[in-house]
This record gives sequence, C-alpha cells and structure tokens, in this order.
Amino acid sequence: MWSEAMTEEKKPEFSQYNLDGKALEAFLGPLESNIMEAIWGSKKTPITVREIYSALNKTKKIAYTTVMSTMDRLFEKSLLDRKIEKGRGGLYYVYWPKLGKQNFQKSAVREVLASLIGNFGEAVTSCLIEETNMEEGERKALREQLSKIKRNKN
Amino acid sequence: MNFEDVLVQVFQPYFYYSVIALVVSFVCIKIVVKCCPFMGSRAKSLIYLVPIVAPLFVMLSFPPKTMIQAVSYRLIGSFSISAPQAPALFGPFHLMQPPLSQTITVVALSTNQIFSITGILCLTGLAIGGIYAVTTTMMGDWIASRLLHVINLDSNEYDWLQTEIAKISKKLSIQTPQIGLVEDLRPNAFTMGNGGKTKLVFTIGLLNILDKEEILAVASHELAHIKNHDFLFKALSNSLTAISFFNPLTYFAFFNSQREREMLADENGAKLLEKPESLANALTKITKALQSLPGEGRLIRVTSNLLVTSPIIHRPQILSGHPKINLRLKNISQLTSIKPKRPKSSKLIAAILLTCVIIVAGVATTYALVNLQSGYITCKIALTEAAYVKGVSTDLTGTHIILISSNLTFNPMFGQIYSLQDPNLQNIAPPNQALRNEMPNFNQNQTEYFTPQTSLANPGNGKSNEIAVHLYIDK
Repeated sequence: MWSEAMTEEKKPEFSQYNLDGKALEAFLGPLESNIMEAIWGSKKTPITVREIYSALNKTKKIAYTTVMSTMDRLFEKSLLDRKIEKGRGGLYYVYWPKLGKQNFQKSAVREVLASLIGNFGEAVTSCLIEETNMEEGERKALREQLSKIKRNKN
Repeated sequence: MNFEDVLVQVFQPYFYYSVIALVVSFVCIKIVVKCCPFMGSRAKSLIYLVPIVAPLFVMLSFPPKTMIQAVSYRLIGSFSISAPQAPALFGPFHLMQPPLSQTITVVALSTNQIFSITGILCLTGLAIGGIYAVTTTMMGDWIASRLLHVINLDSNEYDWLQTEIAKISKKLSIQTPQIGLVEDLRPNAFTMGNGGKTKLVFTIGLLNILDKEEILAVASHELAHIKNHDFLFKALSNSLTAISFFNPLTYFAFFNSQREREMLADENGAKLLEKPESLANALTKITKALQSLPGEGRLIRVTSNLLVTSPIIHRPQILSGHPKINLRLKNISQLTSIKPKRPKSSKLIAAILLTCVIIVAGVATTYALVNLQSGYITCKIALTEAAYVKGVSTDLTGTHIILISSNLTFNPMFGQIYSLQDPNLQNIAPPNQALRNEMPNFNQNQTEYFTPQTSLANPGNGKSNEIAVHLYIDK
C-alpha cells in the first residue's frame, strides 16, 4: 500500500486564469504560486512539505497545515507529483514538479490561448496582432500558428 | 588471562554485588507480580524499578575502580621440616611433634595493578547514566524536537483538537501542552518534556487514519502520560538502565516497567473519555496500519528513548516498551465493563505473606551468593604448584594471603606467629635469618614475609585439622 507511487499520468490542470494576477498568480493562487516557485527554486528535489514550509516561513509566517493542504491540491491538479519515501524520520511524502518552470508557463499559456481561440477565434488573432507591433512576416507566421492551434482544437 | 584473573575481575564487589542484587531482585519481583494479580499498573511499574536501582546503590557503596590488585604467585622452592627448624616455624612452645616428614613448599606472592575491566564497565555505566539523566531531563524535548523535526501548530490549526486538548488538560489539572506535528505517515503520537514545557505530538499518519473521537482518545492517553510524569520517569529509568548496560536483565526490568506505564496511561486516558472504547478502536486501527507499513525509521528508533510513547512494535514483546495490543484492549474493556473486584482479604493477606517470604528468600539468596564469592576465593584459587597447600584466600586488598593446608597437624594452643624478616610485627619472633638461610632454594632476594601462623580460625572450608600459613606481602 505504502509503496504505491503516485505517478499515474495525468495532464496538468489549469483551472483558472486571473486577469489581475502577476506572473504565475495568473494561473495559480498566491500560495500555490509561492509553493511552485519555492519548489523550482529549491536545490533539493524531491522535497518534503516541511522543507517548503520552512522555506516559505522565512519570508512570511504561514501554517504548516496550510502548506500541506496546498501541496496536496497541487498534486491533485497534477502540477506536482509525489511518492512515499522512507527516511530516517519515518515515512513521508516527497514532491517534485511535473513540469519545469519554462514548460509550465508555456503549457499554461497554451491552455489559456487554446481556450480563447476555441471560443473567440479571429477576435483573438486580431487582438494579438494589434497588441504587438509586428512586421508583416511575423503577422503571417502568427496567423498560421493560430490557425494551426484552432485546427488542432477542433 | 587465566581463569583466576577472570575470577578476580568478576568478583570485584561493585560488579559482583550489583549483578547479584539485580538478578535476585528481578526474579523475586517477577514472582511477587505473578502472585499478586490485583496489583495496580502504577505499583508494578515502580517495583520493576527496584532491580534497576539496586546496582546504583551497590556502586555508591563500593565505588568502581579502574585498577585492581591482582595477586600472582610463583614457586620459590621447598624444604623439609627438620627438628631444629620446627620451633621457629611453629612456635617455641609447641609440645607436639611437627610432621617432620612433610615438605613445605614456599611460594612468592606479589601483587600487581591490572586494569579492572569490570570496574571500567561499571564506571562507563555510571557515566552514561549520569550524562543521560542530565541531558534528557534538561534538553530531551529539545533534542527530540530537533531530530524529528516537530512542527508546532499555530492556534488556528486543528483548532477543534486544541480546544478539546485544553479541556482534557483542565480535567487532569495539568498545563495544556503545546501541540506539534511530525510528517511521518506512520500513525503515532507521543509526548515529550516535563513540567511546563510539555509537548504533545501527532504524526500526520495518525491524523489521517483516525476520526475525531479516536484522535481525542489518543490525546487522552498521551495527556495521562503527562499527568503521570512519564517523561521524567522514562528519562530516569533509562539512566538507571544505562548504569547496568552490560546486564541483559536490566532491559527486561526496564521494559516491564515501561509496559506498566503504558497500561496506566491507557487506564487513566480511557477514564477521561465519554466512550472509552474509542481508545480501543484507535489502538486497533493504529496497530493494523503499522503492521501494513514498513518498520520505523532509524531516527525514530534512536530518539524513541526520549519520547514517552515509542512507535516500535516490531520488537519481540520482552524488549518492547508497549504491551501487546490484546492485553491493552482487555485492560480498556475491563474499565468499560464491570468494575474490578477488590481482592478478598484472605487472598490479600496470603499475597502479603508470600511477598514477605520472597523478600526474605531474596535477601538470603543474596547473602549466600555474596558468601559464595569469598568461599570461592578461599577454596578455589588453589596453588597447584605447592604440593601441600590446599587453598589460598585473600582479603581482596591483596596484602594478606592465607595458605591452607590439611597435611599438617598442629596444636594451635601452643602456636606462635613467626616472622622471618619483619621485626615490627608484634608477637612475632625476631627474624631468623639463619633459619631462612637454611631453607633450600629459598630466594634470598624475596621481600615477601613468610609467617607461619597457628590460627585455625575460619580457614574457609569448615575443616578443623587445617593450618593457615599467612604470607604478608611487602607493599
């Protein structure tokens, strides 16, 4: 029972997009994003809840159980993976991120974009082109890229 | 190291007496506990400490030494008793004819300082025990917290649990302990610290598998440990155990005592609950879960001595600080069913009498075993090279050796102590260098004093026709 590693393949789940959120907080809650940052920034992987709790507590007082339940939620969302490890202090969960920071961002943006394109199509393309000062060649490449995403989505 | 050297090591009083005291008291207490089934867990846990405390008292009375004097002997020569020599040897007023045909063998005795292995063992035990007692009582909770990475709960975490624990603490008239968490997924709970610095720690595993009622039952059990000052009890009994670390029986006595403390905490904890059976449910769940999980971590094993509750269940019962689960469940169920009957007064009197008999038997056995030691030294360390000598005894300081012979007949009434060399000894004839020179093969350079003595007092083996020949060793 205990040795059952929780490695069942599941796609990372980005269930929200927050317009006011900065950086990762656009996709994740503030604590979730802090935890993800702490895990990516940590030299040690995999990492325990206590270690993340200690790292976060250096900047802001936070309850251990809050960190524990948040990491559990990140695991449920498939943003983190975990397994049970036997150490000197007993059995405990160790966590590691499913994606690196770059891949995570890319994947999250793609998810949001795909959703926008799927819902609003051309409007998204026009907006993107207007929002960015692009050369004709770049615009063409972007259009092709967006059409490709849309085709895949459909 | 020959057999005599081993005996010298083993028969050092600090070692020999402490082992005898521990073994005899342990056996006696085991019998007493068996004979008094109505004895409470608290009383049992305390009397199991007697065998662990006994060696400390012995070592305080007979302080261990790192060096001991060992007596060695070697053959110098032998001579026959001739008529002119007899008065010098056996006193000038003797009337009886000494057995001239006998040959007397002379041995040189000397003492040398050797390392006392048993003394070092006992001193090491005392040092470990002392250090352990100071460290655990003063910093045990801090060490365990650091090693196990205990996380203190904020006031808003598990607030229902904190509120309930505060209520139970009030019922027990103890200060509400700090609540802590450990990441371990194995279900367990323990307390650490004493006085106003107590901490009650749950593992995440325990909080995951038990419902609220069961968690509270476990908390009650742990709070009962705090009420019973079990952290201090464990720290002190551990320290006392360390004193006789070389004696396996100490551990048995220690674990017996710890198991009784667990039973006591179960009883006291269950009494605090509305539904005492929830403690039984919790224990059953914990045991089941622990059986399906791998053994405890090395760190837990090391630090378990700093904790009141040890999670170790994979040990044989005799070496476990926890009673078997079925015994605990039976104990708890007795609380919920009928009230335990008070023993009949006749049974109580019989048990008290039996206890007295066992105590007297224990004291007598100890006395006999202590005497066996001196008897052994008297009779067994035989000078095999000396043909006529039957045995040798020593007064343990190594300065006074008595050779015992049964080959010589002698009337003690007319005897006299003689010294061949030492003029300072009173009632001893002046040195008779001439006689000494007459002794064949006698090494003139020896400094040992050869003093035939007329005394027949207590030669050690109860026979009356023996003569003791004392050899005084030059210091």
